[in-house]
Amino acid sequence: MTRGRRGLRLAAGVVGLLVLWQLVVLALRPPSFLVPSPLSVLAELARRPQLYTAQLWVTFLETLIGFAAGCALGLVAATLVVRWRWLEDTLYPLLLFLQVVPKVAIAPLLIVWLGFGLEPRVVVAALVAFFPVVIDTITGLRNVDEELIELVTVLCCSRRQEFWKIRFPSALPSIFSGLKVAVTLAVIGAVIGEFVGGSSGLGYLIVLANTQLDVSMSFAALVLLSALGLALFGAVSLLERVLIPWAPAQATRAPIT
Amino acid sequence: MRERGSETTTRREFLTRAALATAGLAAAACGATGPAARTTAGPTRSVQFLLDVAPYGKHAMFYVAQQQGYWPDRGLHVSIAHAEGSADNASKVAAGAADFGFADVSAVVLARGKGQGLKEICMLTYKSLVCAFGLDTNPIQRPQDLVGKSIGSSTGDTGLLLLPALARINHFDASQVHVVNIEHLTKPAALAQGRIDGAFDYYTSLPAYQAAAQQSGKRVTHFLYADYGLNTYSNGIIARDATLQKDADLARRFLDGLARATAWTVDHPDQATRILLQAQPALSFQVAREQLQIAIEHLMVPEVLRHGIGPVDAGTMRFTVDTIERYFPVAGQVKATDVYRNDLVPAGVLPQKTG
Repeated sequence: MTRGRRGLRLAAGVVGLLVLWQLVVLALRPPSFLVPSPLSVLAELARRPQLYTAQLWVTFLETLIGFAAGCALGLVAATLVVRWRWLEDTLYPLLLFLQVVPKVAIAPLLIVWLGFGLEPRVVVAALVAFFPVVIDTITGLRNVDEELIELVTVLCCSRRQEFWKIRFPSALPSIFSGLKVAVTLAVIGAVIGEFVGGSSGLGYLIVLANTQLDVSMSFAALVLLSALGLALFGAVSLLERVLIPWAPAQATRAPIT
Repeated sequence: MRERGSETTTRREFLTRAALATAGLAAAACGATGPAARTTAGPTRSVQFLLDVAPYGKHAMFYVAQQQGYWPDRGLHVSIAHAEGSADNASKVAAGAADFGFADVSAVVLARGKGQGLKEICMLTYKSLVCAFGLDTNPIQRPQDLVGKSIGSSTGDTGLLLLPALARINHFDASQVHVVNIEHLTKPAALAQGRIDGAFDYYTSLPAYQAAAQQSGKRVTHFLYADYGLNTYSNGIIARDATLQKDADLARRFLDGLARATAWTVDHPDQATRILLQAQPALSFQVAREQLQIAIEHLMVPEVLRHGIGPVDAGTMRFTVDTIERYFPVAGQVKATDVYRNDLVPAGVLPQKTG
């Protein structure tokens, strides 16, 4: 399927959903505090573009820094686990602990530890982005063609050469799968941070909207959050296509989480 | 010479007195209507201040204090963040994450019961905002109206915790009130949709309830706990005992700026709301203004008109602490006199229009 046709289908799906939503609202006429119409959400976005742009920028920054930090830590942790198998027993329970701990529960503690600035929100984003990167990187680094490993061993390659020439490039499709999941989760992490103690960002805007029962504002922020998630996902996919054009097409498709 | 000298002295005295009088008049005028000239030499001190919840109309005076220079002129640069309710606010202040907080007295009593040294140092909500909302189709206008109805409440709602006290004072059976656990922010919509018959909440939420009810063609009814025997103190400024012992001057400067900013806010509620919206542009002016008006009405009680903004009455505080100790899960015994300090707030600060 050509890329243009896929884009067309995606746009048709989004427009179709919006039209259906508008029709349902027109037909059922629910109170605006329950469900706003897509047109009222668009009107809200158009009414205060500066406000939404400023808050979107804050959430984008938190997400990007958190994602970068989570990825860097995830890649390092996965590499260490694959390089020294005994580390797996030590690190894995810790990694699982970090994954299963509800981030909503630790976010308030992060605020006590780190203050009320950008830091706790970035840390929550990094924490949620970290796990999928670790898991998919470990899987990718381990699922290397054994014959290739034997070959480089015969050729007396160093461990470093084996890693950079064979393991890491082979693992890239798997790593990118993890990165795509991680980048969307990082958006959610940043919003969790903004919910519990932020003074800016789209999550904070949702909190303010809820206190005023302003559902249009709430939905406007949600629409921007979805757009941010999609854009970041698209950016990682694009990077994947540029860096590993040899990867199978299936691996570049979005995982349904 | 003597005469001349005397004349010179007189002129000098006159000029000095005139200068002092002018400065005094200016200071007095500023004290009532605007920020005082900078009174503190030295570097600006950074202060972390924590609201009880995300900012809305009732918090306008804090933004006035910062934006109109009341805090900067006293050498303070105050960063305003928010907690998730008074209990969370008290925990964060007790942990040292913030220098001052805005929280309910109950949070201070609960914290002191657990051994955390916190104090209420400046009252701003003298008349309790705790109330029950209903709709005119099945009205809730007095405590007895709660009987037989399903009332929405979030975990830890003060209205729910004080329900037994309200029932005892007003002679009805609290067990006949059907409490439905519901997320705090969904209560106005749930009430307007008829999912619940009423809700425990704070009176400052009235605009949200009215907006939802109007769209359903209904009208909001309510009663305040304070009007039915439970007029307890509510929100004020809290700080750690350690902060107050180590740096009482910081607290004095903070409260001096805040008390005067609050007086200015009462005199200029529209401007104060606009200042709040400059910092929080996502808020609606109309809703924030209504919320501020409610906060002003619950601040400007007769007690404040007598003593100014900030200090508390020992008897009312004793009743407040006794009520909290009886109906809240307080871990240990708390003495009312340990809960507050009156000596840090400036004396007799009042709005011009009422002073």
